[in-house]
Amino acid sequence: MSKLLQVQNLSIEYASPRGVVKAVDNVSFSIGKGEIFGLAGESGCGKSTTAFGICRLLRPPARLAGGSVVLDGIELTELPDEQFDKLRWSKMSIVLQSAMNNLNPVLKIRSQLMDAIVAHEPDAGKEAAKRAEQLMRLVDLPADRLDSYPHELSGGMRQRVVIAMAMAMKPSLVIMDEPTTALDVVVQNGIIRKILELQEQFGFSILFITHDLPLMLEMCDRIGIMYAGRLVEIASRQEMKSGPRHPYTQGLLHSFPPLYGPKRRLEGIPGHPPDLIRPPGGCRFHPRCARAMTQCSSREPAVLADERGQVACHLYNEEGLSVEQASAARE
Amino acid sequence: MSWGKRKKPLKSIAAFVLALGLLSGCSSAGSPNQAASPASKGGAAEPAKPAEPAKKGEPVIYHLGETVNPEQVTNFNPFLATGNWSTFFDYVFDSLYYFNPVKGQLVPRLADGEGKWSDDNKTYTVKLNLKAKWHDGKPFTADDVLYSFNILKSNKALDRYQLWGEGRLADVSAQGSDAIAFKLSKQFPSLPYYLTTVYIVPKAQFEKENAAEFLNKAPIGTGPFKFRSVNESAIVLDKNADYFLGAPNIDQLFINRFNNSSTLTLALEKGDVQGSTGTVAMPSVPKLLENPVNKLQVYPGLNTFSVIINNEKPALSDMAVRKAIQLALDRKSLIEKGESNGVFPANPGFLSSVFGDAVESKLIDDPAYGYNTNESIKLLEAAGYKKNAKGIYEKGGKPLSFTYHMAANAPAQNKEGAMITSWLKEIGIETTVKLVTWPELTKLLMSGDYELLQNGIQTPPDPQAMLEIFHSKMTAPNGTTAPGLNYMRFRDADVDKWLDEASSADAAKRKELYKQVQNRIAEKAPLAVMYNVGGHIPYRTDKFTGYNEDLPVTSALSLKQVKSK
Amino acid sequence: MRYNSVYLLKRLGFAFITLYVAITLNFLLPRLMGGDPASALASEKALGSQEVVKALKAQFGLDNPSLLYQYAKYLNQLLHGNLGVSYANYPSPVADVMVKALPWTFGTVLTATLLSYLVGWLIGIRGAWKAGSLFDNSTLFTAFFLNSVPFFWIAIIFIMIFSFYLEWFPLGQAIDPGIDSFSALDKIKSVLYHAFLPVFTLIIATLAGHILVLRNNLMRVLSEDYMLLAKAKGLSAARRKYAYGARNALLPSFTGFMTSLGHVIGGAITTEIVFSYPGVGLVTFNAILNHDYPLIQGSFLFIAVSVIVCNLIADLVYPLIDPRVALN
Repeated sequence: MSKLLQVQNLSIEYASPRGVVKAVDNVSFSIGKGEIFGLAGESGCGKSTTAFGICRLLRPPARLAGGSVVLDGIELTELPDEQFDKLRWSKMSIVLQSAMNNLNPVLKIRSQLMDAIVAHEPDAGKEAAKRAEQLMRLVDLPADRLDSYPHELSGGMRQRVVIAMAMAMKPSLVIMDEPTTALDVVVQNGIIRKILELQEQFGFSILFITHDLPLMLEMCDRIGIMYAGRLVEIASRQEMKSGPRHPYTQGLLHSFPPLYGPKRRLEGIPGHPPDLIRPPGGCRFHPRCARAMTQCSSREPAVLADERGQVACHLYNEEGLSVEQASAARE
Repeated sequence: MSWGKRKKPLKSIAAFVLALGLLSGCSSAGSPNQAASPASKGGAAEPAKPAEPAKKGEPVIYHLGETVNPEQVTNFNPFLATGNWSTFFDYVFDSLYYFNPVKGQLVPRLADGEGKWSDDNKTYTVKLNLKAKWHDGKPFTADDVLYSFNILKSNKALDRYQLWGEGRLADVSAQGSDAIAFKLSKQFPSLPYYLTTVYIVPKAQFEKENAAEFLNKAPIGTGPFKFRSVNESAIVLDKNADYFLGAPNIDQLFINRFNNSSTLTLALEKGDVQGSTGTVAMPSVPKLLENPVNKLQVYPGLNTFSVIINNEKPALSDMAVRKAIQLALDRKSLIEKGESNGVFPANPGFLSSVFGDAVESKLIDDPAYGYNTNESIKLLEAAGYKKNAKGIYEKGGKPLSFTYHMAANAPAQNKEGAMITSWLKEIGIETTVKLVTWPELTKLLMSGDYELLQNGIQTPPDPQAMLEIFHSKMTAPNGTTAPGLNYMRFRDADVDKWLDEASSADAAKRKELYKQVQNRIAEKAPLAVMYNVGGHIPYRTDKFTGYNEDLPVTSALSLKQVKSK
Repeated sequence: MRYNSVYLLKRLGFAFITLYVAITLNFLLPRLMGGDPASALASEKALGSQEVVKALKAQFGLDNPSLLYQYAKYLNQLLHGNLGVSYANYPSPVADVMVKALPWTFGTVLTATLLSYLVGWLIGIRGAWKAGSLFDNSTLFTAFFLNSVPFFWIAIIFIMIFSFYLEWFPLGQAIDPGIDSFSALDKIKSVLYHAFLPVFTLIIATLAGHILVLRNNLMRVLSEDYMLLAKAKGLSAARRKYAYGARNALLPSFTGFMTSLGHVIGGAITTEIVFSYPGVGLVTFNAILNHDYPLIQGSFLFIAVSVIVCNLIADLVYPLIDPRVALN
């Protein structure tokens, strides 16, 4: 699968009264064409920040501190603002969390669908209006809703509009930041189905951000797990389901109760996420890790990349074997 | 709604506004009228530059400034008490006589010399100066005078000075074509003074209208200046080239209108106006006078500000208390600090210095009636008052504590009130200050619903009327409205007797009787005088000369003599 | 139409009731002041003569002491469009006095209000958009300063600097005293020349509040998700600033703006005094000092009507600009 998006050593930090917050630290991953890539983790782990960093939507004082982002062969971090703006929406679009104020409350839906088109194709004219109607049909919304205002639509309908809006310029990459978190489960189901349907139809890649791991395991091709600003593991859906390697990922998966099967005790991960101004030395997870070793507190684990994916943990040496496995093999 | 490209709207608006200002400013500076009235440049501290000689062909304009509010130019009818600015009439109209407060004399205008009393002193005959002409060219006749007086007879509301009141005018008739006979029902030696209060209007213009409602927007008089126009900034008058007492030297008189005396004072400082007719902010005057071209004319008048005492209230009916109050006032200090020397010393006997030799002037500086707080204290203690724990004098359990009313919104009044109440505190009299509007003050005085009240009492230009405010017929008990100006509820049988006699006595006897009344008033202190208000007229001498300082310098008769340097 | 006739009628009805209450209060308030204008006038100008008091009372319609009678007469006159006759300007009708002063008030206060809001809003928008920049910091600082300084102080300083020392503008008044002999064009120039400083001062004095409010509102709006989405869409800065940002930030300010417009007719008393400007404010002020009931009533009536009408307009227009407002 050829790579659409290549993120290399991305770091984002921002100044706060107490010091510099290293919100995203040396994150590297890639997304292939037509691939659905999920980015999961606890609240505050830096997944949204990463996404905003990629599409230059960071709000000051947050700023890109280093790294490269290549989209379709173009180095995004070096582009001047005017050129970057041209790429917006046409190469990559974004779907935000379905909070009330996703859409401008004083403009009609039609206007908000059309202005995205007109901003990039000023001569669209009547074409733009027709395309707006098409976009509504795409997400199974009646065309007469174009004359409604956002507050006249239900949460689910608004989210469909936002998705339709994201499709307007047929982008190659759609970043979805918790698109269904605020919706009830039934509506969520419908939205997810629609997203998958559109992805099949148009073949765009999706960077899907959520903290809902089970959902991710259902729909994403590959999943990345972030903890305290670092990417600790990347694996395919199957690998993730059958054998996650990083202790944090294992803990996460165990936190979600299965729908079927015998009742078991709910396990969480003891402790809470670290302070990102003075994060723990070495591996950022080590204070909460049940299998922490001496070097975990002093040395940052190297990222091991192999055919199973990526993992950053001292438990796995260069050959991809766990320490136990390695010692067993030696014997 | 779609907003197009908004390129720097802020900057374009700022530019537009500035351009507008500059455009109107530049072109205004070149407008015709500005050139005609040479404006002085430079601040007040610089010595005046020599004036440019008036260019030939350009009208000579004298700029007067005054606070004239919009409600004061709604009509130009001299009979109406409201809606006009009374000084206006002095320029455009004439009365038979003009009362000159600077010298305390009557100056004939439409009358030809002094009038003559009949032998029984009940008829006063005045000869008319028939050289006078109305501004529209029509000749002035005796009929106009008859009309002007008779209109007051038929409209009681217009007869403010009660010329047709009881015991006064009975009939006005023509004696030939050039004299008027004023017949009185009783002897009334003050009549000539009252003749100064009636402006003569053209019968032909007024008889078609209801004089009590006629706005007279195009006034026609006989006076030295003709009405040209009025606008929000000025009343414009042209000279009357045919004025029978001598045409004015200036071509136009602009009465510039202001809303407040501070801007008026600034205009005087800058030289935009050459003089005022009265309402300058007195505290600004010393700065004005630092410039040698500015002068101030001060003369006495008909309004005396006093601490008016309600003689019927308990404790205030005691003469000792009233005298204590009289002696507690440092009148010099009030004049200097409160009014910046813009007013005249008052007479404890009340009669204003305006009336010349009828005034018992020795009373003015008599230490027996001057500032002496020790004497106040002695008087109170001799009358049986003792200081209580709070330092206030009391007798029979009742402390000397009074309400003290004065005008709200009047800084000079309030400053003086503060001075006075603190002096009263010094001599052990407590006051509670209450601030009310001017009309409220009048209402309280009329009904007697007050104890001490600081205000001015304005009387007609007649010494008899001025002293009659102490006559018992001019008052009524507390609770009933006083029919006259005796707000003090003062009663003295001798004063009544003397005044009654004076109302029909000859000139010498009157003066004697008036002096007796004044002495009694000073002694009994029915009120405590503060100062006398007449005129404080600022005027500039850099562009114009010829002011007649024996008259109020900005009055009509003086201004007609003024000429450009 | 977004709203139906029921809504319209309800708003109109409410406006009428408010107007009626205002008219009645208008009648009562001056009479609560105490003081009898006829006696005051008679005492001031006619030595307290009771004859004159009687005559004046008849003229002023105060001879029948019954409050109810006066009220009935007042209402009857109002219905005929007669605002009565002023006491202090007797015999000029109140309407004449007001009409003379109104154009000056509208010219200056209305212009100043509109410009002040407009400029204040634009500065606030720019300041919020570039929060923390030199422009923002300096305008904020100036705005806080201006907000704390009394208006008349600014006015007096301006007069001293611009009129007295620099002589760029006149000391006050509305027109040149010699205006009657000017050409039409020169008359207009004279009016503008004299109006500049009062209008400018009014704008400067009221600017601060508008800057601060809109800046705060816009900063709040900028943190909303739809602003982020608008940026992500690649919309132009102008569209984001105005159609997305300002359009939402202005909504809370709209009613305040309409109320200010309603009060324009009341004039600006401090401006009129400091600049010797013949507006409605001074007329009202003097009327109160003179206990001139009909003029006070007339002036307050104008203000009440103006505020009620502007409020009505605000009620009717607001649903059109904010689609979220429910109409029942």
